[in-house]
Formats: sequence, structure tokens, C-alpha cells
Amino acid sequence: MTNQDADSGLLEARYRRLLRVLPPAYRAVREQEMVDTFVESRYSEQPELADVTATYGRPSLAEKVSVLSLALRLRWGGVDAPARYRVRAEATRNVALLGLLMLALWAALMLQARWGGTPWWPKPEVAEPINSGNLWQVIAPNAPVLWIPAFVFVVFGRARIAQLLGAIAMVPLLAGSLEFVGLLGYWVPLLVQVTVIAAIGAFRRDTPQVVRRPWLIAWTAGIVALQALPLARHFPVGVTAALIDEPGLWCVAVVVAAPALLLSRRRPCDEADVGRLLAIASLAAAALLWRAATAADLAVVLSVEDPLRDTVLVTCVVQMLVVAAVGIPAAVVGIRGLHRLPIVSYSAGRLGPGATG
Amino acid sequence: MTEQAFFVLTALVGQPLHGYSILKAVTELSDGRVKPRVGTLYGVLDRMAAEGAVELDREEVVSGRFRRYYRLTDDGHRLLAREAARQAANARTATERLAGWAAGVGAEPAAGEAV
Repeated sequence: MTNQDADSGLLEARYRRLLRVLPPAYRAVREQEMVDTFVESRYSEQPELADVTATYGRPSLAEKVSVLSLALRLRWGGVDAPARYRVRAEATRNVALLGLLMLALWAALMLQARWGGTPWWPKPEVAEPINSGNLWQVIAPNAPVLWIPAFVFVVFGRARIAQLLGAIAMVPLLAGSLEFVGLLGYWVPLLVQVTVIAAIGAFRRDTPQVVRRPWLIAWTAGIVALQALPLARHFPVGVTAALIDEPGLWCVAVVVAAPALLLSRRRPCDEADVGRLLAIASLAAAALLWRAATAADLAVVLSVEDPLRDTVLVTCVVQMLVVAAVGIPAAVVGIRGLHRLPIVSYSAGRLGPGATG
Repeated sequence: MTEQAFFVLTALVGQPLHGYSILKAVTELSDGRVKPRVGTLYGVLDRMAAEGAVELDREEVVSGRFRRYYRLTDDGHRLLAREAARQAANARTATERLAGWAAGVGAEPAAGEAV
């Protein structure tokens, strides 16, 4: 019996099981090739024991480690990963940066309102002295300020510190969620913040450095834009309430950024366009979910007789429709662009129908 | 460039090879020092392909086994030549310093050491 003739069913099955850690799209292109390479190499070690190897052979620990390393590299999308995985990781890093930017801008607005006073949120008249009894009451509203240094740390390449700061900034929201279990308006932003912190994990030593200038410009532009918020006072009160809360600002950001990205993209989209479009589509999904959650809370909290109720809820629904109108095209174009990118990066030849599908 | 990538490119000089034959050639070329696993090999091939150093040559089914053959691109040849020159220069520098040290202390040069 030759090596090739040996019934390699069990050995193959065990190796295929190991390959399940690889991303499905990569496995669809590579699995058979990798299995046959593995089986051939195992038979060549002891050709006379091919039958025994076929039945009792298993992937070695070193082989398992090598496949696991490959899976991690693909899923993390390092600079040298195939284009589709690289762009997906880039989109995740963009989600982290966009999310941090929005959280930091909101924190800056709160900081300004709390300590500097604003035309729409007056500064508290008398600050109570801090003591052990009210320590939590002082810390909790100010903890989100940590999103500002978290954003700065990510922009300047210190992602792990940013994750730590984000985790601390999230604690008061977590406490609020546990206190007001029935309010989606606590749970959804908690989910958003957990997602942002997790997305920061896509920044690693082997990923490209953040191009700082556009993000610092975006931060500055955001701060300047927030100073225009008093203009919202010209709207009816209920509209203003839904426009200048945190999900309201996320909706505004999506409505400004998504059309700009859609209009400025190359045709067909290049890798950078795809990464940005997928990120803004994720931001749109978060804004939609968050707005829907707050609208649901308001529908419950505000009594039917409340004159603001209908205005607030209609404004929320309009916001969601507008966000969906720009977010869905961004998602469609981004996903199509992603699927056009190859799973394996060969500059010549074809790897079969699954290579780019 | 990792040692594994270096030997994978070296194995592909002048001949397209498939996965198992690359593994075998790398082990032989490195005198058994480098024995890449299958997962590692395909990681290296992906990296080298992303850099434009390797491309697909052809696909075949031989005795029921599916094989993809890979070949070195022109960029791959240049990349390997640069890396080989860099390693040769490093080796030369180390060898010269060792020879100088051996002469200074009257030590015998190590086996295989150029003096």
C-alpha cells in the first residue's frame, strides 16, 4: 500500500476538526490543501506505518499551535494578513476610534456643562464639599471624563491604557444598569461601551499606527460643533430633548459622516473606503439601537397626557429613519466591498470560485 | 524576515512547489534545523503573497491529493537576494570579529570559522 492509497479517513477527520478554528471563509479556500499537505507529511515520516498513522495518528501539539497561531493572525488581521481579514480588523479599529471619539466628545460636553456652565445646562450654583458620604455621587457623574484620555491614548498608540480607562469610565453606567434593571437606556449604552472597549483590542503591536492628524481634527471639529448646540433651543422642547442627548448626537454624527463617506469613496471601493464604511455602518447600528432603547424608555416613562410625549417620540422615530437611510447604504456598499477582497492574497492565478467569494 | 520565510523563498527558487514539497525542501535546505508545521507554512505563504513575493503557479490533483503549486515572483527573487546579502554581511562581520578575538587571545578558531 502506498502513502496515497492509505485510508486516511480518521487522521484527516482529526485534522479537519483542528482546522475549524480557522475563519470559515479561509477554510473554504484552504482546507483541502492543508489537509492533504498534513496527511502527506505525516505519511512521509514513517511510510511503512501509513496504515497505523491513518487510524491512530493525531495532529501533534506543535501542529495544533501552528494552526491556532494562523487562526489568531487571520482573525486579528495583522498588516500581512490577507486583504479581507486585514480590512475587517481595520474596520474594527475604526469602530474603536469612532466610538471613543463620540464618548469623549459627550464627556467633554458634560464636563463643560458641569464645571463651566453652558447656555442650555446651567452650572450648579453651589458645589457640595466632598466627603466619604457623597464620594460616589461626586465620582460617578465625572467618571465618563476618562473617555477623553482613553481616546487620546489610542490615537497616540497606547491601546491597553485606553482599555483600562474605558473599563473604569464604564463602572457608573454598569452600576446604573444594575440599579435600573428595566431601563434599556442604561443597558444599550453599556453594550455600546463594552463593544468599544473590546474593539480597542484590535490595536496591537503589529498593526499600523493610527494616523493622528484626521482624528485630532475630528476631535477639534467635534468640540467646535458642540458649541452650536444652543441653536437647538430654537426647536420645540420635545425635539431638542431628543436631539441633544447622547444617542441624538451619535445619530447626527452618522447622518453627517455616512453620506460624506459614500460620496467621497473610490469606485470600486479601495480597502480604506471599505474599512471606513463598515465602521460608520457599525456606528449607525449602535445609534439606532441606542435611540430605539431611549425611545422605548420614554414611551413608558412619559405619561400619555404629557404634551412632550408625542413630539419626543416622533422626533426619535424620524432620527432612526434618517440614520437607517444613510447607514444601510453604507453597510451594503461596505459589505460588498469586503466580499470583493481576496481571502488569500495571490497576485496571479486563481484559487477557485471560493477565492474571493 | 523569519528564518522559515527565508527557507520557504529559498525552496521556491527555480521551481514551483506544492505544500508538502515545500515543507520537505525547507527541512533539507536547513539541514533539519527548520521544520515548519502546516499551519506555519500557510501563514508564511500568506505573508509572502501579501508582499507580492509568492504567487500561485497551478493546481493539480495527484493520487487523490489536492495540490497547489507556488512560485517565486520577480519581487520575491529580489527580496530573497537582499535578505541573503544582508545575512551574508552579518555573518562576515561576526566572523571577522571572532577571528580578531581568536588572534588576540591565541584561541583556536571555532570549527568552520573563516580566518
